[in-house]
Amino acid sequence: MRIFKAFEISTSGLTAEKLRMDTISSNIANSGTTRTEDGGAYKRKIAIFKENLHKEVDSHSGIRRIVSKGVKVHSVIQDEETPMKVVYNPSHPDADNEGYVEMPNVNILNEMVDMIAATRAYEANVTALNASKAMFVKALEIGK
Amino acid sequence: MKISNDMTIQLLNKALDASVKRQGAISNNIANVNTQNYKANRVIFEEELKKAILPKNNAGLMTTKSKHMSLSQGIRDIKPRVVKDTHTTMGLDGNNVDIDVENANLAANQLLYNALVTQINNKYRVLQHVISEGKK
Amino acid sequence: MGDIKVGGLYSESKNLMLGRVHEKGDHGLSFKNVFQEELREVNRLQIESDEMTKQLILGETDNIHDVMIKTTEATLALEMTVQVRNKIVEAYQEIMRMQI
Repeated sequence: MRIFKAFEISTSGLTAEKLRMDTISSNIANSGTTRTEDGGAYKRKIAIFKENLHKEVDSHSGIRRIVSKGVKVHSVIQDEETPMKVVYNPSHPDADNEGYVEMPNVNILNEMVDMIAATRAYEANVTALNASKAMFVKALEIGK
Repeated sequence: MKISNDMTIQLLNKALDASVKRQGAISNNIANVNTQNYKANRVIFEEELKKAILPKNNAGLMTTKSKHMSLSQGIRDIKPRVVKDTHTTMGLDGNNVDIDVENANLAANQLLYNALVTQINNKYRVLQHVISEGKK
Repeated sequence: MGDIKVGGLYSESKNLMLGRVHEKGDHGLSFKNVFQEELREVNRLQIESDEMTKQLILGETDNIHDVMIKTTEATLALEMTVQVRNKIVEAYQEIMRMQI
């Protein structure tokens, strides 16, 4: 279904921020996970955003254009840069021979900050969408 | 002269039909945002209408400007229909409803409906004006 | 943009009332020609308005304001032309009465 472009763009922002929020929640929930499917501790996940570009063909003139339609989540990758935490805990079932346990490289404080950023971005997108809607509503009053 | 032969009024009528159907589909989606394996409803209309109207070199319905009879014929058969959206990604529960998209569609559909109603009012008002002021 | 050219109609009707009637074939400025021109303009605006409405329905435009403006313009042009026509007919009838 086709909606007004302004709505489409703001909505893409909403969806992207929601997904970012999901990854942040996942990180926080798994901040103590030592066993994953790949073996080893949970690695922090990051959502990569990308500008959503579309190739469009103008139906009247036939001119091809690249049009920006907001944002898209490119991928959700694992954070390989941040080093894993290593904690000395010999009684832990996943401790290695020297008693060290590899813990997820999730820093709760960082995740909280990211969470606030995602929330604010989400709210900003909602504001933008409401502004667009108000403009269209006003346009309907022309000639009344 | 039949008033209902005016193509724009016919188009507006159909578009309003589609808008109402769409409202239903969106409400359904919002109501089922947490339902397992639910796939979002969409209304197909504009694309099919576009195909019927725009002139094509081969099998187009477009005739000369003065004779739109076959064009009206083609439009008359096009009705908005509800289909399932099967190609958006879904969550773990098999549900592919994105609440933000549905909300935005809801607002957009409402706006479009209001705009169409205004347009059709205008068409009728013009006709009424000609009828009432034209008398000597 | 399509300016509403009813101003031309007004000055022609004024000329008519003051007795400066142009004969047919004289510069092509006969009353009938001017009025026909205005009607063509009104028709053109109506067609443009219909075209924009169609674009809105098909989802080819995002600019609701363009559609609304064009529709208002077309409607006003028609209403104005009808009013002017009525006034002219009145004036003509008045003149016809006077000559008798």
